[in-house]
Amino acid sequence: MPEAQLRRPAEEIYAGELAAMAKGDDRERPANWKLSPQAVVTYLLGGNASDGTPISAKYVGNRRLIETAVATLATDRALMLLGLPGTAKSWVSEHLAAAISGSSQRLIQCTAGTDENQIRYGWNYALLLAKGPSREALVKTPLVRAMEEGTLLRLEELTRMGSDVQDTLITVLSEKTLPVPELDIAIDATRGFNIIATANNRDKGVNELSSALKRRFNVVVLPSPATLEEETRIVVKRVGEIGGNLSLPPIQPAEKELARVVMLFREIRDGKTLNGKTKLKTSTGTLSTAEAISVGVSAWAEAAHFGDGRIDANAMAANIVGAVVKDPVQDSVALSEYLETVVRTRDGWGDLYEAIREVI
Amino acid sequence: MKRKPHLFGIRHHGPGSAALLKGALDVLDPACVLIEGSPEGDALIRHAALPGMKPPLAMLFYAADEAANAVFAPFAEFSPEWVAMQWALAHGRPVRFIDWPAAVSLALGKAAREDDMQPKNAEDEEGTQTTIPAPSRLDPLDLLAEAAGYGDGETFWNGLIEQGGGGQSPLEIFAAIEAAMTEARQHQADAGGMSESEQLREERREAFMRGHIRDALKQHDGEVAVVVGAWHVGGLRAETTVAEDRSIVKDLPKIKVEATWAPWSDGRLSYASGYGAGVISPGWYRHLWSLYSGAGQQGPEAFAALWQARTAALLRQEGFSASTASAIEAARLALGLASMRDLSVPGLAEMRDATLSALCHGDAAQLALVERKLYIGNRIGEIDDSVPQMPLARDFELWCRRARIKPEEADSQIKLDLRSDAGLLKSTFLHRLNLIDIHWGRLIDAEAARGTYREIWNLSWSPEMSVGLAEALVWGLTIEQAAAVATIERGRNANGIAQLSQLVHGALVADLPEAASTCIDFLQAAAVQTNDITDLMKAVVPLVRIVRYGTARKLPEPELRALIVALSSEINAGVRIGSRQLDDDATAARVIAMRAYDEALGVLRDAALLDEWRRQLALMVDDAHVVAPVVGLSLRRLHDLGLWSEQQVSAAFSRQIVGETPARAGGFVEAFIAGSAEVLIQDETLLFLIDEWLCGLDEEVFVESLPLFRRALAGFDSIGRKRVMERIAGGRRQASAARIDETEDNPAFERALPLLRQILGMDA
Repeated sequence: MPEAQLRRPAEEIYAGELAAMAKGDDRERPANWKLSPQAVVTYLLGGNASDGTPISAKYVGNRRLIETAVATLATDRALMLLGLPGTAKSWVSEHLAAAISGSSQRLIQCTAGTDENQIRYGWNYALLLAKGPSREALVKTPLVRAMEEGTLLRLEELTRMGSDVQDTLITVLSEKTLPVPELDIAIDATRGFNIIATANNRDKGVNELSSALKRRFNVVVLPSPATLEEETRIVVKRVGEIGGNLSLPPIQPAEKELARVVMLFREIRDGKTLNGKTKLKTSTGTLSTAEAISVGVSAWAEAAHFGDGRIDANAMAANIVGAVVKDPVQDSVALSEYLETVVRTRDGWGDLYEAIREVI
Repeated sequence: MKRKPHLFGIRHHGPGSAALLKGALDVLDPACVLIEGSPEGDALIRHAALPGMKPPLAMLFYAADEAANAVFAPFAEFSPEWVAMQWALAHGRPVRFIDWPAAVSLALGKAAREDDMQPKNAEDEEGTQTTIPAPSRLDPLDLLAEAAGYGDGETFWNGLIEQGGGGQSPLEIFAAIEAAMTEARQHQADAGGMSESEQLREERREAFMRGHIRDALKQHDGEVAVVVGAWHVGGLRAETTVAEDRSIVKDLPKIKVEATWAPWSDGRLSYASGYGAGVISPGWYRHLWSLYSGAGQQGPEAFAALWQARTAALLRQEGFSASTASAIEAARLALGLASMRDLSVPGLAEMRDATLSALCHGDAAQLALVERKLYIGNRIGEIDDSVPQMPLARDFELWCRRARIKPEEADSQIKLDLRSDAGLLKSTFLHRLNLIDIHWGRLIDAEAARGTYREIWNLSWSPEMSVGLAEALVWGLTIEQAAAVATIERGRNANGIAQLSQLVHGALVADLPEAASTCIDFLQAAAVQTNDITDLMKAVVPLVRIVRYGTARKLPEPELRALIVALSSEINAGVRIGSRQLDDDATAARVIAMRAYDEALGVLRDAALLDEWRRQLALMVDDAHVVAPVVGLSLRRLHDLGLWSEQQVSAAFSRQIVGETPARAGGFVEAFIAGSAEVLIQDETLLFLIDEWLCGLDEEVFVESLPLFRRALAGFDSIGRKRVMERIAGGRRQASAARIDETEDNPAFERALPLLRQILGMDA
């Protein structure tokens, strides 16, 4: 029952667009690709399919980055998407997998607790004891399945996994094969197999990639949105999509409020006002685009369920404070300073000033 | 039927159009080749085929009477103009330049500058030093490329060449370019895109070109190929009569012009050049040219691989681990990107994206480190030995060879040991160049000026320095001669002892003994006439330094010594009278000069001079007309040197403060305790002298003196002031403790003492 499913994968939501792209796609495709590289780029960045079906933009940003990412996969190189939290790494990775392999479900979430068995293969111990080592007793991981089927494998937050476990991937990436010494066999990758890893280059508690592994990836750094307008556009779009997905009661468009949040986040993140005239304290929170989006969604929920159906400064205030103030002492100071030096004096921000002051 | 010339509209310094041009010339096989450029360069063209000529090179046109009024026409090996020259020379066809003469453009440029200068001040005088009078118009072909959806002009040309491969002859492509450019030109004219003066300039140039083309058609029966910037094609097709063209160019001013080859550099190529169309990326264009010119018969794979390998090598030089395997991956990615973007060969954008992703792990900062070397390059051209050059340029090259240094554009640093012949030679060369205003090397180690045996130079060559060589021709035909004459010339016009003394120093380190002697004579003559004691003091200091420490060069030592004695005697004789009635600025300068002079005399160790100087110090302390800071400094020196007893100093100190105006007393105290707080902390006599004097004051005088003490101590930092305070609070107790240490018997220390004293200059 798709309606009960909280979140549907990209290939289902955009099945129509993918089908339209595939239909008119007469360019050469790498083996086992559902679309040609050019069509994948169009699918991500938006445009029109050959039959005129409009294709929505999944990623707003530099075209050349996406082209590099797709070309990397097309040349059988593993792709690493690097960036700050909230720069759409996983989002891009999901859509790439959906467009290229038709499925974004081959996924390993890497954590500090991930061990080699979850990457390579495990054993069905009951079978192992009953029949001894055999192919049937192997428990296949998403990696093995992706290799066998020739699809993309997504590794989320690769650097959170221990370095020794990470290095399991080296042979797979260079030799495209996974030896199973217990059975004296090797699982060979079918054409089309490849890996998209995402990692975040700012967080604490991550493990450095070994240089041997690092050089087996082509790295594409996804930047924070370059301009205020671009970031606002992304936030407005995503808030609309997520809210719609969550079946939140419809409310009046809140672009103005969202634009203010984005501006506020950007200014505190950069440590200076947009005009560059005033220096500000930065907060410990990352204040990424993703957080601006979640502030927008929460404010929507609050306004729809408890407010007057309109996102206003009051609906925003508590969410903004929650996002900015991660460290109760330091960040409160940063926010208060911002409030007094910037918000209070800015035209038309008087309501936001009052609302935030009430919360902190 | 009237014969028409073949017009090849090219992109200046575009490897793509160079390749296309080569193909077109091969097909057309013209009887004569005409190239956009000043005809004064005609005689230089034949040198282009010599094996020792390594681009980037430039033709330098300079006014015979004023070398600074100059213009360059640079060529890289991928410049269509260069390619046209090479083709004509290889096929034995006549080849000429057809633009307006440099004689006219330089004369007009000079006139325009003089017009400009009159209302304004000399402010932009510097800007006109390397005259490049060219309109900063965008390359129209780049605009066309942009309209066609290509990122940069070269990708567009690449596409055109591809078409050539697809069956279209290069001649047809050039015909298409001609049509497009004529249209574009019409557009710009309609839009009023050019200013009136620009318009006039272009009209005159094209009138000259049309004239040359007419002549060539008359002289040669075969085809005539004309290689000009694509912009001009439309203008050259215009139907005009001889008389019309003559009327445009008649009565233009002219000056006498010299032309010569000069080495050029990648860095300068990347700027807007004399053509008004700069090359953005010589490093990349050269790589493209290697593809087009078929050197090595490379395909796209080798083309991408070579570029990425070069990138990886540069990254490794910067200390990154860019492996060969990664370079291969980068090349593969570049090819993949190219095919995604429907290009047969990766362009600069694809190469850059691939490098960033596969070689730099997405880190743009790494790439930024090598970008300049990679995209622009740091090549400097070389000129064949048999090419006649300006005598100075020739001598310059000889020197370079002898001293084993090569002009390089990138900043580099060399350390010289002046005791070795090689080091001395390099140093002499660089010093001499500085004397003729060619600042290739800058001496950065301050210690070097003190005559130690080490010199550290920062080297950075820039092609404009060729102009400097041309300018220096007025002084002489060799570097040595020019440097000497330039020094003497300056000495003759010098106004000020200090400047002359600098010149003497400069001449000595540049190993120009005769120039030095002449300057010494100037200096002596000037010293007698001057009554500015500060200047004299400043002059003595560097001279003493040379004599005392030597410069690892042959020195006319007796003369120098005689000069120093003469100058010092002047100073000693005049210092007391000369220290009266000075204004504040002059006083400040005097105190600084005096301190340095005093130190220098101590180093020189001429007993008679020293005695006289000390006598003058004592006299000045008691001279009521001498300005207070000078008195303060004098008394301090008398105290430091132990010439006066504690009582004497104390009495004099008191005399200078009590009953004097606050300004005078303040100036005195300030100069007296100048230095750092450390002086007061260490020199207990000095401290307690002041202490005792202060304690002995009655209340009224004490209150009166407070502000002036405050002012005198304001120069110390806060920590110093605090320590002085602690020292005073500690009383005399510590002082006695320190004494015991000093008298402790230590034979090793005793033995070392004489040497230590000598090093510290304490026995003087």
